[in-house]
Amino acid sequence: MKNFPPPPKKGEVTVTETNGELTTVGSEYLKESLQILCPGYPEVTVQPDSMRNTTPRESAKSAFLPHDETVWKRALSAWYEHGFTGTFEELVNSRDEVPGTIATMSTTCLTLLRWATSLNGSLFPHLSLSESPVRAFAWHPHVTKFAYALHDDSIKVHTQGNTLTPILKHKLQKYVADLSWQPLSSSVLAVACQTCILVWHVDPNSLAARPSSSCVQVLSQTGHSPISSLAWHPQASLLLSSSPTDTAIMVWSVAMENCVSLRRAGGGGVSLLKFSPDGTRVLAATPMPIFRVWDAVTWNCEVWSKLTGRCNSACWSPDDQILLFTMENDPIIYSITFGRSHLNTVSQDVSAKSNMAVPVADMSETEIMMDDGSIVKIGGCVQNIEWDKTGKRLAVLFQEGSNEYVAVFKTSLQPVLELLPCGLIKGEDGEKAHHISFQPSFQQGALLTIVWSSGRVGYIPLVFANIEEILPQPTTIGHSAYQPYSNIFAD
Amino acid sequence: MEFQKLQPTVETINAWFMQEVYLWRTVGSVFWFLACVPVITSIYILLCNISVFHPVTTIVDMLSTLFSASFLLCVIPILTINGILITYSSRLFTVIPDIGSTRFANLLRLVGVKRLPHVGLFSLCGMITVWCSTTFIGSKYSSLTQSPDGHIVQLNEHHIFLVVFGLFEGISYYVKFDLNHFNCLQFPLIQREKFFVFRSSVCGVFLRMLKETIREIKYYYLLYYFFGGAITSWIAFNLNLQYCKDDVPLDTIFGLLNFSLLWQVVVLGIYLNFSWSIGHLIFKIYQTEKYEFHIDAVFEKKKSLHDALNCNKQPLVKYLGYLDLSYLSKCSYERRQQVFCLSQPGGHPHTWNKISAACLAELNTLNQQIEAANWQAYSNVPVKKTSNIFDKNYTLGETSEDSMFHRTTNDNISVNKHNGSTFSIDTSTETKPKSIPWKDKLCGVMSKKPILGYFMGELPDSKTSQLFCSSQVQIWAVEALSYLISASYHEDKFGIVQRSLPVIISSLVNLQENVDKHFKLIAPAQKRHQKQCSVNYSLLRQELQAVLKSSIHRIIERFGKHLCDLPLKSESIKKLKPFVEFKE
Repeated sequence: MKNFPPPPKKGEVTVTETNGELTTVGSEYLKESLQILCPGYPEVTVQPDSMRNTTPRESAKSAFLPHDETVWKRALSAWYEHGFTGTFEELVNSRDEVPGTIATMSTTCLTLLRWATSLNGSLFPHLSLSESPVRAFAWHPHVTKFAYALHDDSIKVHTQGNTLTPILKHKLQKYVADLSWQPLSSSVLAVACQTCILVWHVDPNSLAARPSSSCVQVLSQTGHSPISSLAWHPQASLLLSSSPTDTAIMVWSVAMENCVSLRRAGGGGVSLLKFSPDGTRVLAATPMPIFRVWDAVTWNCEVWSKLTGRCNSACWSPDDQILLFTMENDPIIYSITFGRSHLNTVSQDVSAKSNMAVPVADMSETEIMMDDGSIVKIGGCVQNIEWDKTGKRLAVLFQEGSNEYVAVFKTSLQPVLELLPCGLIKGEDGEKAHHISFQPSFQQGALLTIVWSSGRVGYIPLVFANIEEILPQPTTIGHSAYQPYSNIFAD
Repeated sequence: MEFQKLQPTVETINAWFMQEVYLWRTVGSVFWFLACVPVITSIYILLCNISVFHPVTTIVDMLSTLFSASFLLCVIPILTINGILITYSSRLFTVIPDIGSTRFANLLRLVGVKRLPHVGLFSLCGMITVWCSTTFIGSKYSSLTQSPDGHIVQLNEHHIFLVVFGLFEGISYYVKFDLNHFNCLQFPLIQREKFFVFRSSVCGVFLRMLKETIREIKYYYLLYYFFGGAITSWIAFNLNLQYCKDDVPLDTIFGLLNFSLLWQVVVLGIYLNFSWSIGHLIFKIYQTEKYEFHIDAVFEKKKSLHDALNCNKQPLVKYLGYLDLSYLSKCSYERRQQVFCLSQPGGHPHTWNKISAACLAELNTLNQQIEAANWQAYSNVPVKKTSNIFDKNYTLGETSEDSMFHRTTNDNISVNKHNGSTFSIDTSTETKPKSIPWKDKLCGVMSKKPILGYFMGELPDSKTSQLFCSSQVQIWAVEALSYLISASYHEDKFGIVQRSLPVIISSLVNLQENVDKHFKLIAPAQKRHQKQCSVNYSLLRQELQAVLKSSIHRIIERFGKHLCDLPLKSESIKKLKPFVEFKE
């Protein structure tokens, strides 16, 4: 972290990267500069109202449930509504009315269940973080359109040049953990919920502000809940879902509404799924210090164990050969290099080239002396890493406590992976970063989106030239003779 | 599965496939099934003799049974009859689901003359398996007769109860096998090694069979309560046996309330259902495994990929061909190179031409069928009066609301509109009884009667399901074309794909438009209905639509601005526009 340039001063906000350097403006000019840099992008600030979690789901019940029923009847109805947890809660709450042994037993069971559910929160910090304004955020892979899930489990969809923001609500849409747009499609959004996956078909031509439940498909499988991570195959054919309490990854054919399970024992579940950009490999991280890399053609996997902690974030390089990952309680970013996939070449070597993950960047906390003599702490354990589509920039989000800045690296893949510190991104004073992602369809470089603790969705265009695109590509034989773009689709 | 008589002189891909691939796959699946049966049987022995209070004794007993000669003697007939059953029932498997338009047609299919041997075999197999496996349970169930005092031979009703249950299970397995489309070879979403496919589906099969068994036992108890007495007295009369005076007759409520008997029936039912389903599961896994055809078979005439694509005699070959094509277009660089190569000498792109022509022919056929169905649906709504005119031909004025008449009359309309182009609306109706006018008339009259209407009335959604029931081929064809086109951007060195690009794009967008129209025409309520079986065939059309959309997007995404340089028709450009703007 010592090699990073000093972070922006107080009162300044990072707005863009030009000529290889991050540029800041005073926070009073933030709006104007954004209008110049990202014209037409929806200005979004998540309202604190909708950030607030809705009242606990159980509390409303007691107001309506007649209390003259016997405790057993109440326990039964609680079981219908909330499962075993509800029953035990009911029994514990009315411990005077039931025999002592049963009360003790249900207390123990409830403790165990609560402990088990608390694991859920520890696995997905973003689920339990009350400070994070959104639960999940997802860019559309092809157009300037994104969706985010709020704490009241509604989802909003913003599109460039369209003031209409559809709000998606469904009775099964609870504890949203992940959102994912289908590639090669304009409208399909998969939502990971507590009990099921909801697949919304958000028609971009529709004028409905609240798409009805006829636009949604429900995919569920017994034993496969809560669903924490979703990954579409980059060629849109399959959807993968995982749950930290289920050892199987489900492979869905969404239209056919059927699935097959990929089950491997060990690890206790799957907490994170990441498809490589060309769809040949999938990373499946578990809640234990172990992760697997599946070959998405033969559907065999190789296991990576002996980690120091559970893998909490990962990303693939655009050429599909390098996997970067970070672990909980470890401020180092590691990399694994894989062989070339056989989809596009003759090579058959799919497995990793080495048996060791190589540390590529140390993000541990350091103190930096600012110009005015004050000392700022930067770095820490990593919450999330994101690589942009061109493979030139890598953004690093730190865990709670050190998430005032987002670190950006310049990366190059050839001849070897190289990470050069680019700078630290700062929001307005007091704002903390909670979610980072790159817009996949941005053309002039990479556009980093950060959801700040104030609810502001910040766009930071990192403008750079993509050298591979400028140089003539030897592989596109026969296409270089094409005329420049004559826009017949324009009108 | 209906397969043609082998012709030794001219070896077609069909005959070659049946001899070289299908046969060995069947042999492999039957072998592994037979390897599974002893394992399932030993679990069955464990369960039927289970004693909660003496678990160690149960296991020791089971082990001693397993190593006894009687086990071998009982398992051999079980293996033989089950092996015959699985081998013989392989003919029932099909890749195209048989969807009858009425409940009556479904029933008629079940009891067809061709199917009678299957019913017989299933019930025989059930009975023999039960007869053999009752010896493991103990003397109370194991033999037809008993002599408690050593002199008088008496009838053992418990044994009969179980054997008749075997018969019942055999028939009910056959019925649900057919009605729930268990006999359809559904191709897996992802290609994995057979063992992993098996492992991941075993648990689901077991749970499903558990549910099915419990449901069937309910009906069996009911049936036995009413008709059980007749069966036992018939057997007792014929064999000149006496009833046991100490036992309670089983066709009474008190007799049926026998927990140990219920447990034996449940375990036996699961054993039968599960072992048959495992056999069929293994058979399906073997037959739906990807097969790599030669792309350019110079020395092996009639065995190449495009022969498989054009094989209409044996749909399985065609399906495997399209599966292979779709797989190679996605995953294999080397084989794509073979598709994009030129012939030597001559320099013609024969392989690509043949493959793309076969795919396009499939798409265009489906396109025409959907178009015809759309015309029919259009005319269904407002043209009540005209259909009345047609109905007068049948001298039945009051049947204007009858859908059967609509179908026939509207077929005429659509055919006329298309100048008699060669297509038929229901391609999958060969197995249905041929619709001749008097039969239609009869159906029409009968479907109006309250109870008969349940059987004769047209099932909702059946027509669309029939239209799309074989569209898995088209799904693969669309996928393969779009992946090949997308790969050709970098890999097609001679530019052969570019020449056929306009035709392919226009046929894709046309099909997409017609499918979209069709969805708008059928009532939205019919779009999704309840899942009845493992695979809902009415959802194939959703899959087709999704694949079409993503395929068009894939081509646009890859070619981008270069698409403008193609000599596309203005109509196609108009249809592509929403895709380019991501509004579709």
